[in-house]
Amino acid sequence: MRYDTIILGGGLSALVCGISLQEKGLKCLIVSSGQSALHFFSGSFELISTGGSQREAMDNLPDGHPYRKIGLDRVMELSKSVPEFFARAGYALSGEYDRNHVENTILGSQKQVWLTVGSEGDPPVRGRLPISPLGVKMQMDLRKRFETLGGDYLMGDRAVRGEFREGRLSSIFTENHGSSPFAADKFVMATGSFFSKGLVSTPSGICEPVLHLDVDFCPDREDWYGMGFFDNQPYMRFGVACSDRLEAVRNGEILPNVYVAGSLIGGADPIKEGCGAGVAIISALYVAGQILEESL
Amino acid sequence: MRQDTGFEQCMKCSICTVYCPMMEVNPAFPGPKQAGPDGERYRLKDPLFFDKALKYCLNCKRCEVACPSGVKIGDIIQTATATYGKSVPGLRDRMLANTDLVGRAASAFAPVVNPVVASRPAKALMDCTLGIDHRRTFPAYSSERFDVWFRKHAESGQTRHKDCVTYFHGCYVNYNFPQLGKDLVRILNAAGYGVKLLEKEKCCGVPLISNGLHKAAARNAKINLASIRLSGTTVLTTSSSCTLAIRDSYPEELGIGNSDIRENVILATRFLFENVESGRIKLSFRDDYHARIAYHTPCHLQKLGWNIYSVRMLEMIPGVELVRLDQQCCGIAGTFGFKKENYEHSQKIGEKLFSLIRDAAPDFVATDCETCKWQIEMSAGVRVLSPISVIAEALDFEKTTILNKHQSK
Repeated sequence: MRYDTIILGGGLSALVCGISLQEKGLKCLIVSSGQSALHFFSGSFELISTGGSQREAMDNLPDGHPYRKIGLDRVMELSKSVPEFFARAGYALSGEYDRNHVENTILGSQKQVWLTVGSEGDPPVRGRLPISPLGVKMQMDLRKRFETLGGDYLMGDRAVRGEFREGRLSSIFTENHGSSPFAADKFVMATGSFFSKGLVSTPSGICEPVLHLDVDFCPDREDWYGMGFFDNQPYMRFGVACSDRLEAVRNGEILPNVYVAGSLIGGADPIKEGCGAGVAIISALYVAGQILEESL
Repeated sequence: MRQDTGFEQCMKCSICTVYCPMMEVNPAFPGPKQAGPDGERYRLKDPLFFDKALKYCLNCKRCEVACPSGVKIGDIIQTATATYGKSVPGLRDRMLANTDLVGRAASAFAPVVNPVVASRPAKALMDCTLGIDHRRTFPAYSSERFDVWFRKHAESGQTRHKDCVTYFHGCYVNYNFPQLGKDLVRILNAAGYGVKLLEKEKCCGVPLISNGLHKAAARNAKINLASIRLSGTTVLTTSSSCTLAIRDSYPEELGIGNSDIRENVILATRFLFENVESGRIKLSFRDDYHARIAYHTPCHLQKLGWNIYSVRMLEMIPGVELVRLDQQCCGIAGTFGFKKENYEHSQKIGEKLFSLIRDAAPDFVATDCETCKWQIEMSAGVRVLSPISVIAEALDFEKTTILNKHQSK
């Protein structure tokens, strides 16, 4: 079966990318190996939580951070378009695109967040424990929007390998569809990090199990962990190697038609930096923008 | 029995519990996480931990589809029921499970059986003596079985086609609705394919497994697999549950290996789509065909992920306006919904789907599962057709035959 773009992974990043492309009329397929971390959604998205002004906080991000690859000004530009994107999907978000606001967490602490589901003045009980009903609803609604726009969503199927031709990925094969290939011009890898097995830790290192993309990680296992529970955990920053345009790298070479989005991109520590949702959404919009530019 | 269900991969995220249709309506069911991987830890220690409430599992596999860690939750529950559930199936369960035996007998006396089974006194009698709910509409039996029709009217003409496929018709087509099988044969013949049946076909085993008759299911599985191997061709199906059973339940729930033929058993809509896409066959549709169709994805087809092929085939028909319904369980779960004690739950689960269908206001519903069809026809009051029958209604057979002439000898 043929599509314009095939997205591997079915969480927030995959859905944002897929919806953006379908909105512009590209025919997309999402292959998701199971439900996503959106089911643990707290009710607020974070872009970067280490300061009030986001653009200023970003100046302290390390080299190789996804926001640095995309370009900090571009990140802010894309951030501006996010409330409108969610409004089209039926979700009003409150908060400023360039300034954090404070929300209460379920445990009673306060944290700096970017955009919160609901209008200003809604009751401030927003922190949520897993399973988050709001997250479940958002997952279902975004999927429905993607399908209503004409996209195909394969739930509970796992991409197992890709077929490469002339330095490009030409098609992928999945568990359920066996020898029937899914072909496309562009592919987006949004399979997530360790939780969803987008990255897998093996005795010899960290690998990306579907396309065997290059992964950035510390070769010495000793350097993977911090010994204290709340210490920096270097493995959090492991991820698939990619160019500044977020094209994936395989065997040291850029794959020009495979993009990486969401937490599969290395370089970020979503817990320490409070950037999980931000990286998922911003990288998805950035990748979708490039695919659209190249297809029009 | 296969032990590698991956239950130790469960990281307790609880996402499966969101998608279990039974949990939503029945608080007595502990839910996929507790009934599956959580309970398995205890049962391995001591079988006394087996919980009878596991019988409420619909085996819809929606938990497996949702699981981010690849745990075969449904298989764990079904296997536990088979291993630790010591209860012996009663007469009713045996009757419902033995679709082959009952179908054979009933279709022999169809003109008598159909009106009797549909009558109020008979329904009341079955309700209080057997425990088959009196509100349930029974599928009618056909007086001529599909395999008998095929051998009598179709078989001899099949060899004039160059290529050949085998059709696993299943119990529903054979005893209840031969027309679906006739439709498929007609489409395939027009597309240049000859059709043959398996040398020996038995019920796929789905109703036997879900009624605890695993030994009988295993016997059937072995006979079917031997015939599939013997056929040496692609084997087409029109029922999503038969398909899932042959591909996945045989190895996962019955411990019978099928890896050599697993990829050869496919749903007819997938076969047609792939042949059309590769240009091997051409289909020409009538231009006077118009229908607003709502497509419902059966749970077992969602597990297979093959609903896209049925949808694509329906979209291929020029006069079709297709509504893709949200993937919801219809609640019948094979023989489950026929049982008196399950009727209320069954209907409650299906309510969401029924209202989606009413809102979509289609001319009819299309789906690839016969029991979904019975449930929707009875509860939503809309006619339900297999996508294969829709294609047969819309196809211009004459033109299609000419387009595929080169396929014939």
